[in-house]
Amino acid sequence: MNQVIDRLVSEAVSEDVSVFHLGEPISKQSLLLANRIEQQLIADWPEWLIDFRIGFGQLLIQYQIDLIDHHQLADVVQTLVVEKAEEHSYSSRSVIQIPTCYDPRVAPDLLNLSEQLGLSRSEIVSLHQSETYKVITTGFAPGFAYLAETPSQLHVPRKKIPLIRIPPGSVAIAENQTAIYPKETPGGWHLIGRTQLQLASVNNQTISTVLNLGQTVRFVEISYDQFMSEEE
Amino acid sequence: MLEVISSSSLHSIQDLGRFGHSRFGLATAGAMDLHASSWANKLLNNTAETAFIELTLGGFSCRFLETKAFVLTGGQCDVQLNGQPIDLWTVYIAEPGSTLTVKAMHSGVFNYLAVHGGFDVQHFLGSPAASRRDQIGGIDAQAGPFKPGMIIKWKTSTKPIERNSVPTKYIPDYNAPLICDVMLREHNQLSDVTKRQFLDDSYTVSNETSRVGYRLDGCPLQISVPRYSSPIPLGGVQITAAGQPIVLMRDHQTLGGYPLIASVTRRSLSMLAQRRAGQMLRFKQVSINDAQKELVLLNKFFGSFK
Repeated sequence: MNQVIDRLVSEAVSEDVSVFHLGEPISKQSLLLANRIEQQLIADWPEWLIDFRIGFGQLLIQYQIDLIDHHQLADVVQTLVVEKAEEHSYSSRSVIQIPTCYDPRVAPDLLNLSEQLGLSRSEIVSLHQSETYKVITTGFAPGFAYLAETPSQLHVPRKKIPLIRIPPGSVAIAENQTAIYPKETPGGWHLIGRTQLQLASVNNQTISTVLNLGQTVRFVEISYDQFMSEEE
Repeated sequence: MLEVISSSSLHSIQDLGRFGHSRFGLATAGAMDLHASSWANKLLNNTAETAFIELTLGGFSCRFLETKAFVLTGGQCDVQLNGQPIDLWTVYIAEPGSTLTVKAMHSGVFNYLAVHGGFDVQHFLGSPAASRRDQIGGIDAQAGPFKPGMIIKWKTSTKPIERNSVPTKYIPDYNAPLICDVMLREHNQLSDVTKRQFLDDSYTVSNETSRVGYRLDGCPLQISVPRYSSPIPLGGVQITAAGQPIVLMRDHQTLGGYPLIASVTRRSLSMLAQRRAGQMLRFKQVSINDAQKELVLLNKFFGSFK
């Protein structure tokens, strides 16, 4: 992408927090910008940077107000979105495969969902695997990635009452997205499968995650026996 | 070293908070009332980054195993050193074997116990702050509770110390009705009527309060829900589907689906943290510029104020 990037719309939302609007949440443009910004902020970690997060087309930056002001910050962020010659992008060809078991024994919402969506269990499973997904946002918990976009037949509102304990590795759908719960947390998405893939490793020094902004993901069905045999 | 005699699951090790990892969904954590905790560190000549104990709604006692200067700040409570009442916001020196007991609270929610040099707790991703939501940090690196008999280590400090107190005029009255300074979001989808309502009505702190957020009761606000979630700032004011504001506190989630209409200033956030269910507050609009000037002053005065 060689075109000039328009000046990003920015908003000072509190004393030391600004939000930058990168574009439509699932658009190529906003993912590309998000990807560039994230990689450069992590690589450089400027002195004025307290923290940042990117979600659904918005970049939130918390900064040291005694080192930089909102206007200077907007100028700096603008320089980050300009294409770099040696740009490394996650939007490379490599696709991360998620071995997923869709057996009802580990997919507690599959039968209900089948009724709610008017699709058979196998239709849901094959539709879910039919798409190549992009990581559009990370967050919620280390390793959690919001993947878009599911086929329209699978679009479904979140549950009204969230489940208190979702088993780790649960593959879930809600709205136009799919995701994997990396650890036991509460959550309101519909559980349609499970994976044994470890999505995050957290220790007192570092966090590393398998799914990062801009990466490409596919789900590949495995049998219940395969799933159980992978269990550690 | 400090020995825990009795505690509750709501007490924890905190500091300014854990920054730089919110893109993974980790909460910042840190002191709910950073104003009170910062005073405790300042009185003891500690750096702003020094770790302390946050007590929620009293009910804590401990034994000093060595001589140590300490300060307790925060809400009014019955506090005794070796059975004798002592003042809050004041430096004391505990002799080895002396016991400190924090009983019932009369105002506020949080107290901060700081010692000269600070508590020596393992850092987890750059901070000792306990994040219960993420189950990291704190005394056992898993945000677990203090248990009777547990030993909390401290650091020694060579910095001089005086037996002084916070001047009365700087000690907030947490029982007073709160004027909560807010910066309104530019892209807030608020109609003028709703905006006026938000700024003119008074609100009551509901009984749904936690380190994640404080839900407020008031006349419901009409606002449309955005299609996508968005990143949430500390102090952000969310409007729920039922039209009630939730002010996002130190353990807030990093992304949220409810519309965000304003942000509470960092100073007001500390004052709000000390309000209990049923207490009244009003929002007052301030400019980003004025709020920034205030935060610059707090940063200068306390060394760092996030």
